[in-house]
Amino acid sequence: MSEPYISGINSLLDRYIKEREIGEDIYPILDGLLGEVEKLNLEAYEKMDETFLKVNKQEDMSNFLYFHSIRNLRLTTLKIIDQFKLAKAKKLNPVIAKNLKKFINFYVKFLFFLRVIQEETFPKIDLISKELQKFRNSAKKYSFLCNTNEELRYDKIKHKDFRELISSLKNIKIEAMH
Amino acid sequence: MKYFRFSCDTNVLISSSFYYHFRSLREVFKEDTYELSIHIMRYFERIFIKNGIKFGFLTPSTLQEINERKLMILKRKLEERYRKDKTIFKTVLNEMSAVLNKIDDNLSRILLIFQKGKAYFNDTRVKKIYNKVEAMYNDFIKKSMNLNEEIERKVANRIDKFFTKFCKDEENLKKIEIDKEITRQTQIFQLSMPGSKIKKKDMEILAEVIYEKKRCIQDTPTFRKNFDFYFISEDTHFSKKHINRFGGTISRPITDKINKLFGVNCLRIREFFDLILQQQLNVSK
Repeated sequence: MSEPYISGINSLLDRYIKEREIGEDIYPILDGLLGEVEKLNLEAYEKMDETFLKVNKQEDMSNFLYFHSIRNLRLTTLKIIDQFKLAKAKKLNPVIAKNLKKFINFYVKFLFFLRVIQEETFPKIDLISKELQKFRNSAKKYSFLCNTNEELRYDKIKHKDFRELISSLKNIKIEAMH
Repeated sequence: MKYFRFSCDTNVLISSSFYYHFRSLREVFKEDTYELSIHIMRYFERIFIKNGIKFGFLTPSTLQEINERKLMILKRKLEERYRKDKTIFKTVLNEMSAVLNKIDDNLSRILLIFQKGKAYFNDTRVKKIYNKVEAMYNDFIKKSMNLNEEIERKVANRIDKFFTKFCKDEENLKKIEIDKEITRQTQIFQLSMPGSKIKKKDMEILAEVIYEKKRCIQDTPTFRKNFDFYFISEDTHFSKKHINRFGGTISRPITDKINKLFGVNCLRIREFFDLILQQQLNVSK
């Protein structure tokens, strides 16, 4: 999955832009992407579950950041699929196709980056943080970034639980960690 | 009015980005110094939008440290919840990840008002400054080892010379004076206390900040002799410490030394906020 893959999606999107209508053939591709990202997400979770508090602090933080990055990729994929469905219903077809055409390069690059970095052993917090920020910025630019409410909905997190977590963070004395 | 530029320590960025506002419930999660630090950030954001000037600098080491610091804070919470109930670990991870996204969004808005500094630690010029900073702290650490005796000697001399004839209870007076002097030297004492020692990373950040200050003057000759560089930090090994003893005492030997040796004015969030409030900053250029 690299250049030919991107050009495949792009030619499909070009057709949609030209015809001003989205067809059904984009969904298997997006579902395929989602499947791949979910597989990575599961692997990241399993690694975290196996190693958390067993290796060292740095490793735990690095693994959490990796899990967090994959989760962002998954949420964006879910949002892209939903946006396509919504655009079709609202007849905003060319707009969404144009946005994805501009965004797909960032998406695939980030996916590849996460796949490669998974195997590396050097300190990677800084590197992943930078790439994640770039990915989130471009997802925001093309309206594929989930807001907190969407995040909670996609992950079936109850607002009440989330509020409790946030409130409990007050008890961590950040000052003391400086 | 003097020209100025400023830089922030990681703790200031943390305190201005760790907040969450629930629209529906009017609840806010925020850090203690949040109100002041976010006021500073929004003030410079408005200036940047209006005039296009970025008065703030962030050094590469600060930017690197912030990535680790926020993860460290969330990891502590994650650990706490993991120990409590392992069965919901995946849900907890997703929740923590949602919090991290919110914090990152806050942070990326804040970072827009800063210029990225060019002081890389591997640069020999920065390393030279670092060596001086390290030497300064080593001197203070050495001083902190024998500080008690030195203070006692100093106070005894002073009291013996001037006050014995006026004061009946010489010993009590000595004790009070020694306590006062110890309080005034808190900054130095803390350097040798476990858990309060200065880290290498902090000295690196200070060296980079000093380099940025020098670069500002080199790049803009009009700044020469008419320029203040502020470094906002809540760390006691940089900024003066206020202690509520003897009607309020300030410990500032390290802060003064940094200012004297390197021309960088270290201050706390509250002090910088006051400068804004009293309109003591020249925001025209």
